[in-house]
Amino acid sequence: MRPKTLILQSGTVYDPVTGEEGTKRDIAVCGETIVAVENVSDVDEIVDVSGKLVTAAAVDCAAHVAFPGLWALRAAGLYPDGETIARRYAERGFGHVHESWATLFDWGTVQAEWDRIPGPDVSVGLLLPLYDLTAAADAQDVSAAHNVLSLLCALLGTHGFYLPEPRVRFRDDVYKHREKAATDLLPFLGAACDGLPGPIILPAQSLRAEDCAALSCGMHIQRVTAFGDMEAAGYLAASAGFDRPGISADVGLAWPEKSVELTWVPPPGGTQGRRWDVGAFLMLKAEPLPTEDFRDHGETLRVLAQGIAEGWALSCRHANLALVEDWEGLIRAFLEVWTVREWFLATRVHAAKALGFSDRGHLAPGARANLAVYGEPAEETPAEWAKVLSRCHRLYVGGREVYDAARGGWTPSARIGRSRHTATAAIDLEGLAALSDGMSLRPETLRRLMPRAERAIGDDSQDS
Amino acid sequence: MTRKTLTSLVCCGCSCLCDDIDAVIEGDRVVETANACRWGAARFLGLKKFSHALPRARCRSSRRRPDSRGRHDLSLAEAVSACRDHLFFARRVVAYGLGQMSLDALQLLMEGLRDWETLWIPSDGPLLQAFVETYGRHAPALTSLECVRNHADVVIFWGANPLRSTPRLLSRYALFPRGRFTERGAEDRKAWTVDIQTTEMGRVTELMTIPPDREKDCVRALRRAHAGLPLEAPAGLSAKTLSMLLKDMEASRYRVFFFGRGPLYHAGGEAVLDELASWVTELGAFAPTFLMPLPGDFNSMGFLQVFLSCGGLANPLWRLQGDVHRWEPRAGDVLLALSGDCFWFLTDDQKRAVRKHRIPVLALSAHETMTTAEADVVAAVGLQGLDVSGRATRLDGISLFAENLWNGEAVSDEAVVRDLFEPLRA
Repeated sequence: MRPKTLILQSGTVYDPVTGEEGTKRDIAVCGETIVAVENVSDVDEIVDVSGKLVTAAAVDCAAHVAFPGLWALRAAGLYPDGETIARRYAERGFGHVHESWATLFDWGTVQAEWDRIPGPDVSVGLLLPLYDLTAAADAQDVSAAHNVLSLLCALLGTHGFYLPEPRVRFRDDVYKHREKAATDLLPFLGAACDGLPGPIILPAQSLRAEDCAALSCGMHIQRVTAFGDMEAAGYLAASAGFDRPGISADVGLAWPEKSVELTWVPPPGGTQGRRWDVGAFLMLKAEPLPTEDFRDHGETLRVLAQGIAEGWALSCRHANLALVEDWEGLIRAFLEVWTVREWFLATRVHAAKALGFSDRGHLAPGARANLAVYGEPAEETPAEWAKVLSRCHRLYVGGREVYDAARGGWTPSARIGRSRHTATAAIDLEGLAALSDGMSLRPETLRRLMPRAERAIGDDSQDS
Repeated sequence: MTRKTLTSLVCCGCSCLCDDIDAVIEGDRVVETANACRWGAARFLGLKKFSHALPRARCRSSRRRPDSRGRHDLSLAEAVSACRDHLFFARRVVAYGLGQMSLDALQLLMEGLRDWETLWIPSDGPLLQAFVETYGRHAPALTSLECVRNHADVVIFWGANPLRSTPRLLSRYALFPRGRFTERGAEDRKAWTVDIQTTEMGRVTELMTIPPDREKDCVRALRRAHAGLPLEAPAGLSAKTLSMLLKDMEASRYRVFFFGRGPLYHAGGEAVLDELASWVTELGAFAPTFLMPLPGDFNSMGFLQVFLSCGGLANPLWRLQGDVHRWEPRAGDVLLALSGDCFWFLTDDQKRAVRKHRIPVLALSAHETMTTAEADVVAAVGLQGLDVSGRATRLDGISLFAENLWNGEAVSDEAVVRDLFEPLRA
């Protein structure tokens, strides 16, 4: 069947990658991809977007939307429901959300939660259970580790890995404690993940200065600094070690609302406060916070703009960008010290690049047709831009319109436009045996977590 | 007949959702299981949960009850249509059961009832409601069963008997298995059961029996003593036993409390949970300490997840009610019994009120129950993990997928709920 073609006609295009900052032109979409207008002959649908701003849809490159313990936060009234999260993403023009991590055993939970949420494309990184790779790491057997990780990618559709603690402490041979140095582990992991989709994400707080030398191309440093919680000098010092080719980073927003602070920390001993032990030496901690005003942090923002110039992206330090209630106030505070171009770079171009997506965050032909249509600012002021960029009129994901504010929100395509991982034909579950010591779920259970992959009954059976 | 062995199946017998079950099947029948507990095996083999010699009657056909006592067999589509007719005139929907449905069916159900006045009564309701309310007030930390197995060196079952609710919890996660930091299994763990009666848990854990009206006092006494105040044992409790429990707690690095329905059977039960949750939060300052609910139905936590994800607590038309006995049937109600035997639990007064107000009873069920015997319309659905596939959430919030074992004619609850609400929404 011929893919559907769509023209967004006479829009005002804003895209730092193509260098357009207000060019009036048409954008053509064929199927799920942006194509050159001159290559389109039969057009199925023309949408008049004259007087509207057309941009690539934004990317939340390090989000926690679905995580274990979410139900407890919701029971406490501290976390919005899935519909609210989805609506905020759509209203702000987000076309892709990267769930930074899920552990092997909560992969199904994360998937179930995202299935309830309409709208953007979703990718999920795997929180790497490093102690499961101990045998391979000890033997420096890169290919064994690579094989296991490749299988997990094929099985679950993993996009990247999240490494919460590069110095894994573990215990074996009854009561012996050992610690693996990050300088040993990081080069090993870099080699083991070579060629696999997505970045290796490392939280900046888990790295020590001496670890920086062990970073390699494809690693992403999450939340090098957080908005408002680091002095400018400290930020610059922290960033120096990460400023290397092939290494990306993002700056995180602290929670700006009167709500809860979510932090992901190794358990120091206690669990006071709302916490969820997510395994792999990581805990979710949620504590009530007072209200903050972004505009109080102008000086920090000016410094962060340097990071954006270096190719860094924007994320929310604690959870996800949809949790920022006053999005308009946030953009306004940013645009009082940043340029509009820097905003688009931080929320689109660099965010997509950090995830290793060359087909997102821009409008060049060949890009996935994740598009956001906004109104046009009446004047070039931060307040006006903020007003415009906080109210997306239409959102397209994979060429399908998923959100239309004028028609009341979600369209019937809201749940089907999303790109999904599809099962690969044959997966050698035996290959996961290397992980089975630490894995609580059986390889067969993991296979079932593949998004509704159909299998013939008894594929793995033995006739007797 | 072809005989096949399937391995690593997910068992929907309880909220442990064990994923290591092996089964031998012949056609559309399981003839043998391995690794399953007696409950799990009974589910796979089609036997009664508590009477393993008796087959459990399956609900094979859909039907409606006309005004007379006779019944009319219907196709599933006709049964769903009849349910829809009743729902169309409902002033309030009373949704009972829910803990044995798939996540996908629950999601569709809640989307379908979003704009309807609905009273939600999950079959594990008392526990779920108490936990939701407790989480609104305190901040007890939660963990996963894998972390329990790998780290927990003190496990306390408060008003809970996993041998009667989640039989393999002890052998797979909480007591006997070896974990990363509990390499000697049970030898590396201290386990306690606190209950108002002597149970078989006394054979595998230390058992502290307490009078029913002293549970809260017991928590308070432990709490005060842990805070450094003199230990004052409430009447009927041994100070020596309390101090032994405290000693184990103080020596531990990772403690987990499992809370069951026990205390909730009496009036002050919610206060016990409240006190316990508050203490667990306090204990968290000294070492990781967690409080986990121990529901019985395999997808009770799935219900809670979907309910909260759909904004259930904020929906002004919805109410979560733990205890089915508090339901006061009224004219205009429609009782939607979803894979739960509501009539088993209703009081005689409630049953009389259901008949008096001519409340339609609509049952979606895989088994014949007292409710299907009373129902005006019965829609037969397949059994998850055997006839049909579906997702479910384990007691710690982890979702798994239970696959069908054969391709038969049985229809999933997800398909039935979709058919039920799609025309209504239109």
